[in-house]
Parts: sequence; C-alpha cells; structure tokens
Amino acid sequence: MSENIEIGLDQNIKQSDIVSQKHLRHFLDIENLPKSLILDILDLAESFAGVSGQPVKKVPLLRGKTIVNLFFEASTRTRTTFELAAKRLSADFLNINMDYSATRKGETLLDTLRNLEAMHCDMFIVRHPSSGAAEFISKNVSQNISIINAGDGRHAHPTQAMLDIFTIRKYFPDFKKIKVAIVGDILHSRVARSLMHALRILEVPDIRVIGPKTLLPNGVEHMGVTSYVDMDEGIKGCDVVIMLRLQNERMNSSFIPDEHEYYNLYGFSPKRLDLISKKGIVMHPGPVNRGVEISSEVADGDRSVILQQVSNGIAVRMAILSLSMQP
Amino acid sequence: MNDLIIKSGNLVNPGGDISGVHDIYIKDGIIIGIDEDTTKLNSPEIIDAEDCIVCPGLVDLSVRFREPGLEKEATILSESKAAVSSGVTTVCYMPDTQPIIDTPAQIKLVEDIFKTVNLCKVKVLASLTKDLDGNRISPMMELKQAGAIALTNCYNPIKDLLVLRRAMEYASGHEITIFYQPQNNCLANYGCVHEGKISNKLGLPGIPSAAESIAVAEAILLSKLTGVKLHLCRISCLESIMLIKNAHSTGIKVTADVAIHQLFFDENSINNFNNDFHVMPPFRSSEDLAEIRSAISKKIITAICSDHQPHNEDAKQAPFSDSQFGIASIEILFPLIMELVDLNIMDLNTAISKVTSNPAHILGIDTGIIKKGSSADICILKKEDWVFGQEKILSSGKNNPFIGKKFSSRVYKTICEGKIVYEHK
Repeated sequence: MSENIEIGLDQNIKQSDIVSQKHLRHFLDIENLPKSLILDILDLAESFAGVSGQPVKKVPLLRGKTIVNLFFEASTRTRTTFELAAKRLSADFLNINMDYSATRKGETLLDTLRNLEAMHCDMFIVRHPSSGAAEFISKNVSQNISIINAGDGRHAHPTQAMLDIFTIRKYFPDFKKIKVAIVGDILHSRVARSLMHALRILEVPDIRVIGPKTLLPNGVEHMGVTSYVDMDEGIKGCDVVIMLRLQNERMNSSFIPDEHEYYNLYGFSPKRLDLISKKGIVMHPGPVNRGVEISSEVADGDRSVILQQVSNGIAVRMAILSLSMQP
Repeated sequence: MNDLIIKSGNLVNPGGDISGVHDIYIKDGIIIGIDEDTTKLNSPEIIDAEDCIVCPGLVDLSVRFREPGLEKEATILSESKAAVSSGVTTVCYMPDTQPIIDTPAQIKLVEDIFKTVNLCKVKVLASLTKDLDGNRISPMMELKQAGAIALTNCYNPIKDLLVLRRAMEYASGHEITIFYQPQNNCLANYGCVHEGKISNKLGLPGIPSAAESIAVAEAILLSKLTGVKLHLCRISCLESIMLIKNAHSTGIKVTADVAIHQLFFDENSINNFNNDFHVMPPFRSSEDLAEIRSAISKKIITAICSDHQPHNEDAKQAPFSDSQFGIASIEILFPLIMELVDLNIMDLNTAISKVTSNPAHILGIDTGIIKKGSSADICILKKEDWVFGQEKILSSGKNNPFIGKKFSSRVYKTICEGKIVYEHK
C-alpha cells in the first residue's frame, strides 16, 4: 500500500529523515517534517482505519519483517497500540521491557542495542526516559534498522501527536481555521512539544498553552504559541482542548499546591464546556486522572474524543510503521 | 639541558617591561639576558624565531588530567603532551581525582608524577572540604604548606552558607585563595543545558542563569564579610558579569575566569542533542555569549582557562543528559585565543595576558612574564593555516566540538624551565 503513496519532499527536511520519496529513514520527531508529508501520513492512516473493522484484521504489508518494542519506561496504551499496528501489518513482533535502572548500572544502552541488532530485527520502537534517546539510538544502529520514537524524556512523542491531529482532522478538516489549546503540565510533556510542532507546521493560526507558571516552560512563546495562566480565558472559543495528564510526583515538588486547587483552576469541569466553541472537542492522551485534570462527566461525555484517539492510534501507527520500514 | 638563544622573535609580553623584536638568552632553565649574553652561553642551541610571536608559557587555571584513579580516561603523561603542544607550561590541577586531593600526601603524589613526566609544571588545588563533602573544612594550612596553590570544592556543592562562610574565614586568616565554582544546586535541579530556548525545544532539563548568578552574589558578599581572596570559576552568564562589575566598583577584589569554549558557543549549538556540547556550566543564550565576550575584552573577567576535561569514548556514548559533561580542549587553547584576536574581540596583548600574566597574578606566582632572572617558560607561535583533525589529537580525550576547525596560528615550540618540551614538526 505504501508503494502507492507519493510523498513530497520539502527543502527544509533533514536528509537523514527520508531515504526516498516513499520512505522515512526513522520517525523521531515532528519538528522537521514537511507539511505535505504529515498530510500524506494522515491520508495513509485513513486507508488503514478500515482494516480494524474487517473480519480478518490484517494486511500483508510487513510480512517477514521483525519489529521490536524496546521500552525503557512503563507504558500500556502506546505499547499495545504499536503491537496491534505491527501485527495488523503482519510483522513478527517482540516486546522487550528493559529495566532502565538495570541498564544504567551495568550494560550500556549501546550494548543493549548491539545485542538486539545481532538478532536481525528490522525496526525498534523506542521509549526512553532521557530526552534525545531515540535520536542517539538512531545514530548508533546499523543502516538497515529503523527507529520509531515512542517517547523520549520530555522531548517528543511524535506518534501521539500524529494520532491527535488525525483525530482533530476528523472533526475539523481545515487546520487553518481552528483554535487549539493544550492544558496542564506543558513543562514536562513530550506530547505537548510534539503537538506544538505539528500544529505549527499545519498552520493552525491560534495555538495556546495553559497552565500554572510552574508548569509552563520559560520562553514557551518561542514555539509559536500563546501562553495563558487563566484557563477560562485560555480555552474561550477554542475548537480543540487537549488536556494533559498531571503526574502525581509533581504534587510533592512544589509545582502545584494540591489536587483540589489544581482541579479548580485547570480541571475540565462540565461548566467549562460552555466556554469552548459550539462544536468544540475535548482530548486527552491518557491515562486520565479523573477528578484531577478532567471530570468524569466531561471525559465520558459527548464532547470527549478520548477513546477515538486510542482507536485512531492503531491506524496512524500502521501508517508510520509501513512508511518507515526499510525495503 | 642545552643553553638556548631565541633569536629575533616578536616578544609579546603583557605586564613585562620589554616587548618587540629581541633575542632571549637562556641558561640552566633561567632567562639570563635579553639582547645580552651576560654569562657567555656554552655552545647554545639557536632557535630562529623571526616572524614568530614569542610570549610567556601559558598558565592554565583549570585542568583535569584524571590521574590518579581515572587513568582509563587520561593520564598526566598523555595530557601533559597535549598541554605543551598548546604552549601551556603551568597547569592548575583540580582535586576531584580518585582519591580526592585533600591530604598533603595526595598533593605530593601528583607533583611527583608531573616531575617524572617532566613536560610542564603543576600547581595543585586541594579540596576545600574533606572528601569534597561540602561540610567539614579541610586542613587548609597543612595543604597550603604541602604546596596547594588554592582550595576549591570543584562542582560539589557546599552544604550551606554557614559552611561557606567558615571556610572563607578560615582561609582568609591563612591567606589562602578560594576558587569557587558558583552554582546553586537546588536551582540547577539536575539540569544539563541552559534553561531557555533550547531546553524548551529539546525537552532537556534546564539550569537557569540565576542558579549561577545567585551563587556569585552570595560568594561576593561573603568574601566582603570574611576578607578572603576569592576567585570565581567558569563564569557563563550576563547577570554574573554584572555582579562582578558591581563588586569591583565597590572595591571588592574578586577575580573571575571563563572557559575558552564559553567564548565560542551558545545554547543553539546543542541542537540535535550533540553530546560534544554538553558542558558545565552550560552554554547559555546568544546575549550571554556577547556579554562574556565584552567582559573579557575589559577587565571584568581577567583570565581564560581551558577547563580541560578529557573523557574516554564511553562517557559520551549515551543520550545527552546521561552523557558526561566537559571538553578536552587544552591543545587548542592557544590557537583559540589567537582566533579571538582574529575576530577582533581582543587585541593581541590583552588576549595573551588572559592566559599568561593575569592567571599568574591570580595565583600569586612568579611566572607568566618574560624577564631577566625568571624561569624560562616560553611559547613560540607561528602564523600558519592548519586544520585540527581527529587524527592529530594528542589528548586521550576526543570529546571536542572543535574537531575539523581551521586555525591560522600554531604553536611552533614550547620551552619549560629552559627545556624544549614541544616542537612542531
């Protein structure tokens, strides 16, 4: 299927990211992808979306290829959707959960890679707690192996951003006409960073980030967004509001006073639905802290697209895997 | 050891009485005359230095040669070779070796290895607190008597301001200089890059400039309170410079240095997670870089050091935040200083003073100036285009972002205590 896709090359793209008109070398970050390529991935994902509904949920695109999930950090959603995506493309699939602390003590990251390379795998899907880990691994693997970034530190989570914009496009086909807000812990969020790049490249005219100043990076405006401390002001008239998960460890390190105040100031309560645009949707990359960043009524309500994000994740990841696999 | 005559070199000698084209006569490791052979040299070796710059041997305020304890990274022998190839004849040795230099025996051990290697001279800095723990002050007078030139806690934090005050007071009473690496570790909060545009973009934990400048302010005020001779190491941000300038204008005699690489790069160089740019303090904004360049051209920051930190390959083979920080830059210290002259950031005389007479003055040692009767520590420099290639690196550390850079000057000969310790062939 990927053979039928024409991907336009942009002048700005890094040579290393793309090997030909039809293939990505690796999928590490959204920052340097041309708009046309992002749209092509979305279109391809669209064509894969039907596969999950078929009685036989498989296409033979990656038959004979071996894909490894190499996770140095816990994950449920991302890990399983990658696994399903790979299996629906008929690839052989292996899950390796590395205990990051153990690799730190003894075996280096490079040793781990060398060992896996020796097993003749074709692609590594990598999640790692250090920013830049996927980039580092991509520079150190042999020519025939592709790296997919499934989240590196606070840096990037490009497949999550792709599935988010895929979901947005279902509701708002013209990115140039929408207002999008991202709410919560922007500082520590790789999802937020990748989303900011994706939305900027797709020429979304109004991108907002909302949170207490302790959770907004200093100088976030350099990313082409407007920052708000007041959520009501920030989400006003927005078509898409993306809520981020508040990680519990933040509570104990004076980023915020407590859950109660956080929910009052930045939680998506039902009354805040009145502030967003009439057709506005609410998103969340999961897992959801109910009653902390979003109320159950909103999370389970008809404006929420949280579960669609999860199902879309499979189709989008199928598209990315098939475009990144080396021939 | 042969007697030497350095003929017709262009003497650049900041702080000295003599400059311009002169002949230098050297006997038994001592400069015995300039333009006059006072004692009749015994079949001297003649070095033709026409069209060359002749200047004092460089005094480097901070090096780590990793010995003892970390010889797998580098040794005093390997790094001394790199040092003299850049005209460095005196190095200040940081105490964070394994074991830490906090006893007279450790000082003697390092001095003895340098004597055996016999290429450049060493001034050892000992640990300000026992085991660098930041809590118990070290036996300062014993360390001074054993030869410690100054005391420092390196990158290790001092427990609190009361310990720092006591350490400064005690040192002040015994006229001991403290080298202080200003960083508030609470604010640095395990960061690895400057908190700003790049930390934000790459999602790397950032260190705000305030982590440094707050520590600078505290140290300056405590030096006023205690009267200690304070030297601030590796300044990186404009707020620190403002504070130092202000201290000078109110009569507080604090000195400061900057690492050579801080005069060439800002945070933007880290783009793409290049581990060679992982340094401490981190490369800051372009505004900070401009301010540091301006401060070095004035008298606010009086010395430039290599901050030489060689690593073996493994240390940089990791994601950015997990990789070791530091650059192995000593062997291009002098070419980079000359580059600053070419870039019109400083005139030649000022530039050379930052690595010769000024650091010697900070240390209170009688070197860094060419004069009759002093030790013959001399560097001879030629105008010549060359490229710093990986294959030419003498240091054990190949962690160097300047690899591939073109230079327009190179060290031709280095003389330490009258002995030719390096010759470019």
